[in-house]
Amino acid sequence: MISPASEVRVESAFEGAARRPAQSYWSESWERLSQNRFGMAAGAVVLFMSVVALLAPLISAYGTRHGFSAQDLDNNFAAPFSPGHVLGSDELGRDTLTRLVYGAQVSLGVAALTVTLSLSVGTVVGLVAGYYGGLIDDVLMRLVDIILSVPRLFLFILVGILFFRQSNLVTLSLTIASVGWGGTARLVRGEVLGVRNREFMVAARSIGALDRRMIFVHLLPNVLPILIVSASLGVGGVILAEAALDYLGFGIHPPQPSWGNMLSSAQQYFAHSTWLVFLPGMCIFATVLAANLFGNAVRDAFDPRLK
Amino acid sequence: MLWRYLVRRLIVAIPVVLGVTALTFGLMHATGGDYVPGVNYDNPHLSAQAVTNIRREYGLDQPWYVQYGQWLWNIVHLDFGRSMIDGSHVTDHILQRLPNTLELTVAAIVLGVAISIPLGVVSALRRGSRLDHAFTTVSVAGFAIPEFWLGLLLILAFGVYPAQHFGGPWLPTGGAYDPLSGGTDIIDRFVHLILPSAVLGFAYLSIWSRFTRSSMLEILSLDYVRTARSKGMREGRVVYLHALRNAVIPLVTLIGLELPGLVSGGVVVEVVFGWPGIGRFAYERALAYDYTMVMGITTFAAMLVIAGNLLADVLYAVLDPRIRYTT
Repeated sequence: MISPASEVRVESAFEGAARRPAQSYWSESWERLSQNRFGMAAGAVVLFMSVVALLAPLISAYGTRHGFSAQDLDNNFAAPFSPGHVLGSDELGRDTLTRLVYGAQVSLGVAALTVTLSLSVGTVVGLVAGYYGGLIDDVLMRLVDIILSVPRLFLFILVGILFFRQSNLVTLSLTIASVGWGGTARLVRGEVLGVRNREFMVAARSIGALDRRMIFVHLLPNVLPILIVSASLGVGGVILAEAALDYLGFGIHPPQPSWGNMLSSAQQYFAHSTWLVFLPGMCIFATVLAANLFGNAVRDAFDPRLK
Repeated sequence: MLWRYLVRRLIVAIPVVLGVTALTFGLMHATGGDYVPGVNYDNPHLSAQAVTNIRREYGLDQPWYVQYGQWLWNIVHLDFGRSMIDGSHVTDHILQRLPNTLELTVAAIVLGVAISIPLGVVSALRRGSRLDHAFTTVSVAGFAIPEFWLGLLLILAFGVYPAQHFGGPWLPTGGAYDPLSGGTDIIDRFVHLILPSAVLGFAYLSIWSRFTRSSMLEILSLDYVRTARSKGMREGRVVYLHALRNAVIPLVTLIGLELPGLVSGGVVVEVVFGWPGIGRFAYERALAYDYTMVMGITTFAAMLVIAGNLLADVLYAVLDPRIRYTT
């Protein structure tokens, strides 16, 4: 028999619970992320860089009033804040700010495309390997082992010189993604193994769900959080890899500017024009830093394992 | 148990070795498959019959599976092929430069370990302090800074700038030794090592100090540490004898993960500092489109990666018996 006093307590507890509206995982995570001011500021920096990259032609036409390869040989090696060249000019008198803005297009474009590519391929491979298990799992995971055993930079250079003597944004993304999908596949497979035999999976199977439905309707939503986290943490690494390839001469070639190739041509004029080396490096550093910090904030907000 | 684990781990590595060699062989076949190393095909005096003869001599007229078998057989005998440009042996070039590369990467790892463990421990012990925040900032920056840019800045700070203002560079910024000394002067070699190993070590430092910190924090909250303290053990003894020992075990795996990078991890740094190592050599040959050379070096580096992974796993299994039962 329940005493009246305890009934009252239960009722009030229930009312208290009812006052808080039900919150989905997504709105809860988003709330956590938006409360992280530091992380949001970092996200704003990445957003700003992306907007700059998208608006590069407009900035060049109306802001700096220089094309990215327009030469101005009377004003070469202009110092920053000199008239006509806000951030100075390089050995051919090309406007540094304009080139940096176009460089952002390369860095962020490659980052976006690479992360999209390696995430989609890696997710499918990881889902399939984890869901089917057995021989399929073994074969796919050994393939990942093989890809990840070849030193990254060597493989980039190899793929670069073999297939794409004329590198551009797309071929660079393909090159970096050809390695990047391996890590994602491992991660996703691990997640799938964790949820594969849970009750909702058994239930779905018992009412006759097909493999396709099991994978994309039931498994995919469960790996989505970890995908978001790995995407936002991956951007910085891709930007660094792309810049290294440009710097080494296996990426974007001049006259098209990228932060990496600006650095490699500037290092010859190191002794008298330090800012030419300083500025592109600073752009890479700031963007990668912001991307990493934002990635950390996203991980803190979205990773279900951290709760 | 340990032996069974080792054997199983070795068996798993076999398909990976086969796969990597198949991958490089396939890439090589797709590009320079018909090439005989060191032969100039533009030579007008080279008849078609001579080309056929030379190709037969090198076994290039054999079907691909025979050639792949030969490639594998050669690798087992540590022969990684020959240059497409001058016909020189890949293995000779590797052996000549391997000591320089190892000198650089080992120095960087030693530097990284020597600094990151104390940093991580101090951060953990003074969690939330200003010092902790400062170290965190540095290591977050270390993740984001491009190696080549950091290298250039250090060259500016220790080479170019002092040369302009103080009559000479403070530290050498290129090469592994002064060519005049012939590389036998240990002090000279050490001085050349400082800047490149600092750049390479900085990347390790960022990862390992973070890791030591979180590992230390975890261990310090465990029951056995409390027990040790409650017995009245001195704090220093608790931290350094009991906690640190267990906190460092996972770090060993992490350092083990860098073993594969011993040869290939420092390519960019080698290029920036003109270090006469394998990475810079492969880079120069790649610029010259010497496919077979780059392929041979890549295969060699990949074999080391697999061996390094194996070694790290074994090391971990020896240090932590639990691992053998779970995998």
